[in-house]
Amino acid sequence: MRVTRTDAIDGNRAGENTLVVVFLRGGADGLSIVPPHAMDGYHRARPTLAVAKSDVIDLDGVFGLHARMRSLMPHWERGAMRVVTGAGTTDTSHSHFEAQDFLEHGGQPGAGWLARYLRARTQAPGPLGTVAIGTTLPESLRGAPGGVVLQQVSDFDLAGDDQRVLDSLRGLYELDASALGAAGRATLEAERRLRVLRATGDEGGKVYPDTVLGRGLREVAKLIRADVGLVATTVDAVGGALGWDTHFVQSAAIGSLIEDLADSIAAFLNDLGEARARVTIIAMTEFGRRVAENTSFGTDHGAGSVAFVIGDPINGELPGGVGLHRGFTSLDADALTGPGDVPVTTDLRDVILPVLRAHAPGSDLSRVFG
Amino acid sequence: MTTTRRSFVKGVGVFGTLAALGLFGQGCRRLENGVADLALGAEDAPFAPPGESEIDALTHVLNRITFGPRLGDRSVIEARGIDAFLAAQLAPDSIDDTRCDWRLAGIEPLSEPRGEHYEFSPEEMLHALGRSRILRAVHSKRQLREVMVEFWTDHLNIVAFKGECRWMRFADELEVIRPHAMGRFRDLIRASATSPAMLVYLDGHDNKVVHPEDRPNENYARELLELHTLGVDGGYTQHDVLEAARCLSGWTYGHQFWLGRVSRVAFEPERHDQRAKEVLGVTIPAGGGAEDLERLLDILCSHPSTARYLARRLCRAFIADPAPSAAIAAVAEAFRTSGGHIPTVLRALLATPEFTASRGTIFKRPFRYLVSALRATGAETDGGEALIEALRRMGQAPSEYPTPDGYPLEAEPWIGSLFWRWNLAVGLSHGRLPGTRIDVKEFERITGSLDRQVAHLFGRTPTARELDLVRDSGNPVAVALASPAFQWH
Repeated sequence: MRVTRTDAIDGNRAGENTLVVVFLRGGADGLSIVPPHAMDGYHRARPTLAVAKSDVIDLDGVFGLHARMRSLMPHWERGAMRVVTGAGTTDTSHSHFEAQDFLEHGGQPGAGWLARYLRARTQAPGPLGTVAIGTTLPESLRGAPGGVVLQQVSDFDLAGDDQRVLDSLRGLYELDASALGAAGRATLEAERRLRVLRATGDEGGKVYPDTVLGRGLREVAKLIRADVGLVATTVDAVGGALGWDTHFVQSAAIGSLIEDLADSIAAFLNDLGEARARVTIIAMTEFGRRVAENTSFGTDHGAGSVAFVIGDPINGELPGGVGLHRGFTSLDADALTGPGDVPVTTDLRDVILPVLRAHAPGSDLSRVFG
Repeated sequence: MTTTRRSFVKGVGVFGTLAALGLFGQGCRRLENGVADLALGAEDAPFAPPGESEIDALTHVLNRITFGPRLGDRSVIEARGIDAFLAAQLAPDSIDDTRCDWRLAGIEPLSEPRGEHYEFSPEEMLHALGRSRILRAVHSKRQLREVMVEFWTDHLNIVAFKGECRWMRFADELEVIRPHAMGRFRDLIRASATSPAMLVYLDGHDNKVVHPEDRPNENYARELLELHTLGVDGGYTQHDVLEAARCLSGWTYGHQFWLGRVSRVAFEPERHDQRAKEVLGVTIPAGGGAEDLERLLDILCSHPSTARYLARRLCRAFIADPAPSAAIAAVAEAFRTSGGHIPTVLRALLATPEFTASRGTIFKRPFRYLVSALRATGAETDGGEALIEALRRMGQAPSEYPTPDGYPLEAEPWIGSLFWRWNLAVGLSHGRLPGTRIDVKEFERITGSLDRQVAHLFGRTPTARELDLVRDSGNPVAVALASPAFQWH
């Protein structure tokens, strides 16, 4: 007599929705990514760094996308984007370390919000259900039920690719009629799909920027197209040495960072093909930048920034809704918080939770954010 | 530059490690071989593999009350008798565990008082915790106690990443879980209630009622009722949670921080709600102060729901999931009549027909998978980072479970980790995990033949087809460890 709970173990579940978390690590300047171009306070606080109106793609007469986000405009126009300004956390430390931990832990002490989400799902992730693109497991996956960390699919192998070992395991797991046998066969199937992927030299159908984010999303697309049951993945968007942490001469760096973000995501969505319908991207950062620029023509650690939810509708709608969410209506001094920060008007947990609910219907997600 | 106490101890620790690895590793092995080791299998006890096509009683007992059979274990227990073996395991203090202690000699925080733990980095503390857990699970002769340490660690889960828990989590293991794992349930819960790590993890340290209108912090009180004692269906209400939180108000930790960072737990009467409380229909009179905690735990630990909830969890861990109801009833009865005396409760569990009957029905969680593989193959290991990382990949690194309910007992959440189990099995067989080595040649020499080797790892004789598959793989050790049969216990 054995535990047989086959309903929950069909391994590489075809048609699994995939959550892609793009983390703009370093504190991204929401005011440059989605400039409030019609606010006087914005131009007053940023005499050199405000994005010129000519470089803004207007969305609603007040806010717009930075012109180097233009590759995402088709997705905005087709109603596949949610833009949340004033997004952030309740952490007020202004410390990268504290704020990243706070966000990755979902405001709960200890382990990661993605880990709690994966544990809370009524359907446990399959063998390749959780993948972090990078070199180490991010804090958001701390405590997860297994997780693959890889930079490239080609890094990854099962049992040292020893075909005789794999054949024997296949034979043994085929003899097992329990749920475990099914899980073993699913594992071998995932391995086979990855191997095919490596053998065909699939480098992605579309041109990605040659950046950490672009290369990472290219690998994620491979996994999704190979249908290995990917449930959640995280990718850091870090451009260059300093990334989004633009204390110094921000104008020199921010445009290419924004372009990398937009072009990588656009390439990813194009590359996914039909699989795009099963993918939701959340892009967010630990905090925004101070509204006023500093004397180094940069910006310091602030509070509210911007978050994006990008994807096709799930059950008829993009989780949380589409379009622009206006978090603040003024950047005059009296509208700011702390040392002159964009107020946090939408908690990032409220951006994330509708996506999790749509991806894991029927699961009790009450512990994810406590 | 001054020599701190820690750097001094560190120097001693190096010698201790050298002694344990070198000198003792050689000399004492020979010494041991001359000593009749009745508690549990000396390394050179004769190898006697299972001979039946189903798991027999010997292997079943080893599967469940130890972290898995080693090469000589069956013959030692057979000679001594299962009952005598169980009696010894139920009285762990009767078993000499010096050899295991030698293996731990290099783990510094083990020999340091709690207050000194702050001299280590959180990473060092987490490493020490994981390493000592692995080494003890592999080498301790008090195997049942180690199994219960794992059980209680999940039952009273504390994630090692919250604030002071990064240091104090280890003290919780040393001062709460280990001393009481085979003691009395109420003592365990009492120790946990005022454990610094628990006070921090579930916010008890901040539970205060200074003004009559203050709402106490209910976090610990809720988990105490829901997870530690009564169980979620234990018949309590939100009112009981609030009243329990009022009983617990005033207990705190860390206020003496500036005194050399020595951790202190204290009851502060001015933060305690002095009024009367009512928990589960029992009145706790006003003015009880610190004694409210004792009254509260008396009520909770003697409640029939607690006996039943603990019986169910124990039966799931030791018999099958879902647990058979007749066994739950028998174990709950033993819990009630013994006042939560854990060895008595376990004795009753092991005596149930359901325990005897349910062989090989429990899916090994990753920790047991790893440890049983190391034990079965006679691996030499330092219990170090490579193994902790393997546990992390399989989803069960010590003290990293993200919520208070602890690593799940069910099979289902773990089955997705087969990928990592297989890679671990292959990695071990090829010696690819730094600090851990299986001597495959020696393993083959001791087991004598492939069918005996596979019977040892499967816990039963393999079928002809299974044997062929293992043989054809070219790597029998890895494939047997990765096989379906080795995933269950």
